[in-house]
Amino acid sequence: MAGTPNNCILAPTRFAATAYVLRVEVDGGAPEDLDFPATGTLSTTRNYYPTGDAQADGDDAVNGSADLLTLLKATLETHSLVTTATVTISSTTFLISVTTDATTQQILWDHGNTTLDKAIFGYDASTADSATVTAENYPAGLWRPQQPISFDSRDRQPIVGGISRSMSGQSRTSNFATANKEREISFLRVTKERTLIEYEAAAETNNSFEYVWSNSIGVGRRFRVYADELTISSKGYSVYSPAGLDDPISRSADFITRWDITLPMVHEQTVAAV
Amino acid sequence: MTYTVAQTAAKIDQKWVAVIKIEGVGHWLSGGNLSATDGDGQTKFFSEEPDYITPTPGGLSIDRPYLLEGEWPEILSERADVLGGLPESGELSFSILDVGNYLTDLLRTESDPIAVLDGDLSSTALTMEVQDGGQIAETSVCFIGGEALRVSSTDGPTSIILGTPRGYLGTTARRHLDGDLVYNYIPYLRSRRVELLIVPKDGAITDEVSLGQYVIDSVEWSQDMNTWNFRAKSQLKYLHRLAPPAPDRTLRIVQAPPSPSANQPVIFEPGEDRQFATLLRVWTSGEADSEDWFYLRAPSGEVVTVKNMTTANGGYINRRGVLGTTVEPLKVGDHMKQVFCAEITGPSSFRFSPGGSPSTARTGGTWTKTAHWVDLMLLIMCSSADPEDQLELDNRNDTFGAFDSLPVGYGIGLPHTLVDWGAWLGDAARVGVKPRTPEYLFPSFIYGDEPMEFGELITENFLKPIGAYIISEGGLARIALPRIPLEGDTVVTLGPDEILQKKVGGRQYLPRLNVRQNVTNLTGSVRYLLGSEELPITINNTAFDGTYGQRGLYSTAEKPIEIAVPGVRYGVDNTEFLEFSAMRRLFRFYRPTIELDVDVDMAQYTTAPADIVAVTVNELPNLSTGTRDWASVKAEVLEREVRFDEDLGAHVNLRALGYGGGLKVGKISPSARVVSFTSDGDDRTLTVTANRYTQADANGNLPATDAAGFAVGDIVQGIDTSGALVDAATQEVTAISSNDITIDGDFNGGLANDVIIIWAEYGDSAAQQTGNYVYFADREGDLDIGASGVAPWRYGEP
Repeated sequence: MAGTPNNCILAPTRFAATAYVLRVEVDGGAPEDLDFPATGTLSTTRNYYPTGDAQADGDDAVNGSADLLTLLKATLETHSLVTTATVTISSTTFLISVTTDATTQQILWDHGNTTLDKAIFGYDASTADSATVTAENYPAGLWRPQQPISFDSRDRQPIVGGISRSMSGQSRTSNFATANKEREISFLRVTKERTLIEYEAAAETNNSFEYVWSNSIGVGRRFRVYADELTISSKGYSVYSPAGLDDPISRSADFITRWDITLPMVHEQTVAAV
Repeated sequence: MTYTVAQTAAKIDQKWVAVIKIEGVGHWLSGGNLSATDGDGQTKFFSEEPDYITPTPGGLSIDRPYLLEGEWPEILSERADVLGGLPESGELSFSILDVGNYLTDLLRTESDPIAVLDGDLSSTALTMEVQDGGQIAETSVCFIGGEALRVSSTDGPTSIILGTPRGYLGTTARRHLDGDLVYNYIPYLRSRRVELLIVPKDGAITDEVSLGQYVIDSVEWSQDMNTWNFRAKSQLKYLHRLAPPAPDRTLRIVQAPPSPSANQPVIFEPGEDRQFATLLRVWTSGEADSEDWFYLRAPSGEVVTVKNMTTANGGYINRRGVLGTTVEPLKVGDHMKQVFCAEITGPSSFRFSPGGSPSTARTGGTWTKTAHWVDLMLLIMCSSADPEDQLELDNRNDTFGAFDSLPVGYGIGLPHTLVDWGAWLGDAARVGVKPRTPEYLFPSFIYGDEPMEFGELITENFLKPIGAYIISEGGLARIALPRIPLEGDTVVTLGPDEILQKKVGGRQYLPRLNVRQNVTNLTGSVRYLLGSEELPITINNTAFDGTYGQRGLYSTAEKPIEIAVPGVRYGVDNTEFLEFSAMRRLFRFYRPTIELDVDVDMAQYTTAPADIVAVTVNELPNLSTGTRDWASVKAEVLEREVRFDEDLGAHVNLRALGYGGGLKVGKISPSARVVSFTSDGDDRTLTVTANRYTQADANGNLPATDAAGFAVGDIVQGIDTSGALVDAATQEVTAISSNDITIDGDFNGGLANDVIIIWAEYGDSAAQQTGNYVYFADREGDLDIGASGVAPWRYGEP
């Protein structure tokens, strides 16, 4: 499989409230409580993804998708000492970093005034006062098997209908509707750290497949499948919803310490890379 | 953020919690906790704890996540009888795990009493006197009869202070009598109400939505004895009470009237209470009728009226052979039973006090005599069944009126809170049944001499003749008058986005939909047997030749429906509404209907029996066009079940009755006759007769004046009284005010007084006219409407 890019899955974040507060200190000055989002309100039924792909916060055909990094950037730029903020996700470490045009900044995630959940962006605690503040963990919802798909049915058209045949061989076929395409993907021999919550590695807390499955995919939310994890900030994904709720995780028959993951999905939308 | 049921039903990641509440099962709660919950202290048996109880870890004592895992409450919906009547009862089955012997401890229905009531306790009193209250604990719950009482404190050994609300744990507050026994535990379980609710897992306590109320029928225990398994029936059971429960108003003749003519003296046996005979007079003082005090029925069936009764029990038989009953000699020893008659031209026993500020006494205020079928049923439903229910003249809905005026023992005692008043009397468009049927009167209805199951009584007298049915989905008694879906009705859509699928193979699915022709209700004619004389009238579908009659085999081969209508007399009472009901029934059932059984998503949970849905299934044969294209075909919902299962999660099963793709039913277009007119430039303002083609008391979305039948933008023409067009020209309606209709011309000078304004031909009319209103087809060529190529309408209703 040399040369085949690694896939990744990104499950959305849902917010319970429509607005939050983030306390930020810049250049050692007085901390300021910033509104998240900077303008407008969040939607409690919309899917938010930490990608850096700059998708606007608006409804689309698949129940909304908005880039959390863009929203965080806009919030930081409301600080009185910040003109430009940069929020990125690394294509190598997949950790979120924040810089601004100020000298240093400190995001006070653990301050009582902060209501925005640090885990969404992968932070463990309030950051140090630094020119670049980088999260300790992957952002919420990101699952990186760090391997390509082992088996892929590709998107396939199911039929909603039936066929009946007479004794003489005449037939009639019914077709009730054009259903969304279905796809089944398998990742074979995945490490236990990337499969089960029990073994989650540092920097991948809440990023095992079991966590993403039980908190997002398994409760029916739509999710993105990236053909190449390196395109996470430049789109290039398909949106799916789960096609079944059977446990997708099973122990590998080949390597007893590894795990096989098989995920049946219903295709919702494809967004090309830009 | 919490989600309502409607918001959750629309979500892709919905998660539901089922909640069961049982009347009389619960705990004492403080006032603060009562208001923080739903205010009656009932235990909530959850399938799992909803998020709203997490602020108090473990919840209150009433929060019990004990519904058995993997076994959601199973609901069997009521099945409406499309021919009219009461449906089969629905059922609810559920299992509760007896964690820590919770139920075993609470449901000690055979426990001994703990005290004896010392003096009567009214339904509102908050101090209870007992002979020895030593076993009644403060902040506890005790039971007397069906009622649970919340004990706040004790004031000495015999005086118990009760907390509000009376009728605790969802029970009904009742009057209790001296000597009644007081219990520490619920004294019986059978017939207790059970309510099934759902709430989104992430919903608020206020988002709980009731899916139905039932009454417990039986209890059994699982083989491992860990669970209590309950079976309950829908609350229609209430409607199966006897009506009247105990008709005991009987007088025995000791001196018969000398002749069968009117106004003859009679003497009855005094009995224990010499004033009993005078007490039979229900309507006294300002509401009294001086000539006819009350009705009696002789053993022969004859009904007479009585007046001028005295304490000596002498009086006069004022009228004989009332309501067409046969006059027979009255003899000494005959037991005369009091009956109640809907004779609106006479004293009429059935009277209601209109909503707004209904009267609380029979001696004054406004009381309206009625023979309307809806009023008659409401009067029997809401009147008191027994002195203990205390519902006499105290069981009314202030908005819709008082229907609690029959004497104690002649109603079935259905609490007014269990009546869906809007469905019975509401004025919303095409919803309230009474406004839709203003002329449906049964003035020869006689009631009260023999106990009869209420459901059977109203089925035989009203529901079957009219074709209406009663349902109790949601716990309220609701009446439904089936109607033929109109072409322009705005309805719920059921199509590929709503209908669920089932997997039948590798990437192969079929809709969860079963469709069949229903021939069980086919009929070719309706025969009514009217009044006590049972004089027949027959309505045959061949009478409607040219509209929908004469459909080959069906018109002659199907059995006639024969319906007795004792409350309407031939040649005396209005029978037009019966003919209309028959016509509507024949249109629905002169040929096979299409029955659909379909699973749809949870977003359809509000769809209820009698609702109209539009079904789109591209593979269903359209028996009109010969193609497979059911596109927005209207169907009437007969049954709705919210189901829970492991494959589909929460979803809704609907059973509906459709009429196929060829159904095209519209409204009848309006007309108006010109009385006078004025000119303003080209415009003409026509003053038209108020009610030549309409009724002033029309309700239920029907125009109450002729002018109101028109709308701005309608295209009209004028005809003379011979039916000829006054001119080929058409005009547009530009304004309507009271009885004035303004049009933008004068039909090229053809406008004159007595010209009748009608709608223009199909091709000239506006879309607002052609979409919803019936147009005739021509007889030539392809039998379409004019040259439009549009298929003709099948049926028109006002």
